[in-house]
Amino acid sequence: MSLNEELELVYQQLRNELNHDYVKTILPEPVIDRDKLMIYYLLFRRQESRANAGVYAKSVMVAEIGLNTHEMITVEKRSDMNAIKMRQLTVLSGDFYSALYYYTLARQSNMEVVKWVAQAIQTFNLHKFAFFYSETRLSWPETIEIVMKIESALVEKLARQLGFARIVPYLNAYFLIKRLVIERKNHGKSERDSYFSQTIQGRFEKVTDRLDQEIKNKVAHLTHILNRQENHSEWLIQVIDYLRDQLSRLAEGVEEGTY
Amino acid sequence: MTLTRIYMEQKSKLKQIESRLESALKAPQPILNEASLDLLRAGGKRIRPLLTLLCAQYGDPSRETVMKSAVMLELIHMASLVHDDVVDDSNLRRGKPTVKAQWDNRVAMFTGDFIFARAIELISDFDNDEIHMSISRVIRDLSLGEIDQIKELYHWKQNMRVYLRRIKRKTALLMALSCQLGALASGCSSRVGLSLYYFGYYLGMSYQMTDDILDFVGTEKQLGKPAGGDLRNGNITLPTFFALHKYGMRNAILSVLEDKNPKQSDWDSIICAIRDCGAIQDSEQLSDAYLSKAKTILERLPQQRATRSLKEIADYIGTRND
Repeated sequence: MSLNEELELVYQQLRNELNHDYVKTILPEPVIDRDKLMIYYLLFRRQESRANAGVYAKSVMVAEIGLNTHEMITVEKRSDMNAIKMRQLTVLSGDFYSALYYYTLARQSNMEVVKWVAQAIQTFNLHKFAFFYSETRLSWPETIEIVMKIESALVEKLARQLGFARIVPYLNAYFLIKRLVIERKNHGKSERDSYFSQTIQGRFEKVTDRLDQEIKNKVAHLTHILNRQENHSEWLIQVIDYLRDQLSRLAEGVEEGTY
Repeated sequence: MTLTRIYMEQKSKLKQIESRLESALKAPQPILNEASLDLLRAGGKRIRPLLTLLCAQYGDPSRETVMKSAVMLELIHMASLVHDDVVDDSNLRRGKPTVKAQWDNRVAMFTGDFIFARAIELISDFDNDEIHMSISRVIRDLSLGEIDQIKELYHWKQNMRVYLRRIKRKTALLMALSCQLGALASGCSSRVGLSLYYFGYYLGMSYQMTDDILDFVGTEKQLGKPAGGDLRNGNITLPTFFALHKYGMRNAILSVLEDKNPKQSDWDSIICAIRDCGAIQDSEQLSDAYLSKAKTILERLPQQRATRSLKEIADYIGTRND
C-alpha cells in the first residue's frame, strides 16, 4: 500500500467516525485537513505500526476538528430557529469531537498522547484569547505570529514530543500559509468560512492586499528553506517532499490569483 | 440536616478540592482567568466530588488519585456548564451572569475547552486503563446526550425510553462515574466500583427527574427563572410526558407547543394544568423507584459510615427542593 493509499484509508475511517446521523442534517460535514492528517500520520508512523499510527493520527485530528468546530460559534443574538439550532449543535458537536479523541486513545492505553493533546489544547486556547481579546492593539506582524501559533499548536506539540523538533519551522510556515490562503479566499464571506479575517477587518486597512503580500512572502520563504540542501534523514526527506509538493500546488493558485 | 453533617465531615477535603480547583483554573490570560474563577466562586453543591470522597472510603481515601479524580469531575462539570449556557442562551446561572453573558459565546467556548483540557491533563497520569475507559466513555456519552436533547426538542411523540436514555447521558452517567471513580481511585476492586457506579447511576436518574419536577413546581425565586422553562424551550421532560400520555392533555399541550407565538398566559395555564393533573405525583413515584434501587445496592455493600452517608444523600435527593 502506498503512503497516499494509507492516508486515504485513515481519512475515510475518520470521516465515518465523525459522522453523526442527526448533526449531519443540520451542520455541514466537518472539514478534515488532509495535510494535517498526513503530517500526524507520518509523525506517528515513524515509530508505530500502520494501524496504530492511523488511530493516533485520527485521534489528534479529531481533537483539532473539535476546536475548529467551536471556532465557528456565532457571537451575535439570533432569533430564528434554524440559526439557534446550528449554534447549539456547533457547541455540542465540537464537544463530541473533543470527547472522541480521549475515548479513542484511552482504548489504545496511550495516555501520553492524551496528555500532549490536552496541553496543546490549552496552549491553543491561550493563543486564541491573545488573538481575539488582546489587551493591546496587535501590530500586523504580531497578528500573523499569533495566527501561526494557533494553526500549529497541536502539530508543533506532537512533533516536539515525538522528537522531531527540526521540522517545526516547516510545519509552522506551511500551516500558516494554508490558513492565510483560506482567509484570503473567504474574506468577506460568512463567519463559518473564516475565523480571523473578519476580526482584523476593523484593525487594519487593506486587509486583502496585506494578505496577498504576506502569502507571497511566506511562500517564498518556505520554498527557500525547503530547498536548502541539508543532511536530512530519509524520513525527514519524505516530510519535506510532501510539504514541497503541497506548497507548489498552493503557490500555483497564489500566482494565478485564483486561490 | 443530615446532608449538612456529611458536608461538615468532608469539610477539610472539600476545602482542599476548592483550593485545587482554584489552582487548576488559574490561567495566564486575564479574561480566561476571570471567567474560570468566576465559575468557581459561583459555587454549587459539589455533589460529584462529595460522592467521590464518600465512595473512596470503601478503599484508601488518602490516595492522591482520589483527590485528583474529584477535582477532574468538577472541572468536567464546570466546562459543560459554560457550554450549556451557550446552548440554552442563558444569561444567569445561580443568580450571576454566565460567561457568555458577561463576555460572549466565543469566550465561553474557549473557556470551556480550556477547562476540559485541564481536566483531562490532570488525570492523564493515572496508570489504570479501567479508569480511563470509564471516564472517556462517560464524557463521550455526555456530549451525545446533549445532542439527543436538541434532537428531541418539540418531539412530543417520544417514548419513555428516549427520555430515560437522555437523562442517563445528561446527568446520571457523571454521577455514576463520580461514585465509581471514588472506588477505583482508592484501590477498591472492580466489583465494588461497579456496584457504586450503579448506585450513582440510579441516584443520578432520580436527581434529574427531581430537577424536571422542580422545574414545574418550583417558584421563580427558587428556580431563578419562570417555572416550566423546560417545556417553554420545547424540552419534553417527565411531568409533560405523563401529562401527554396518561392524562389526556395532548391537545392542550400541543396547542401551545406548536403555536408560533404563544401568549404568556397560555404557557402559565398549561404549566399549571400539568402541575395539577397528577403528572407530578407519577414523576415522583418513578423518581422514588430509582432511589429505592440505589438504596438496594447500598444494602449489598459493607455497612460503614460511608454507606450511611450515601443513603442520606439518596434521601436528600428524594426530598430536595433546590
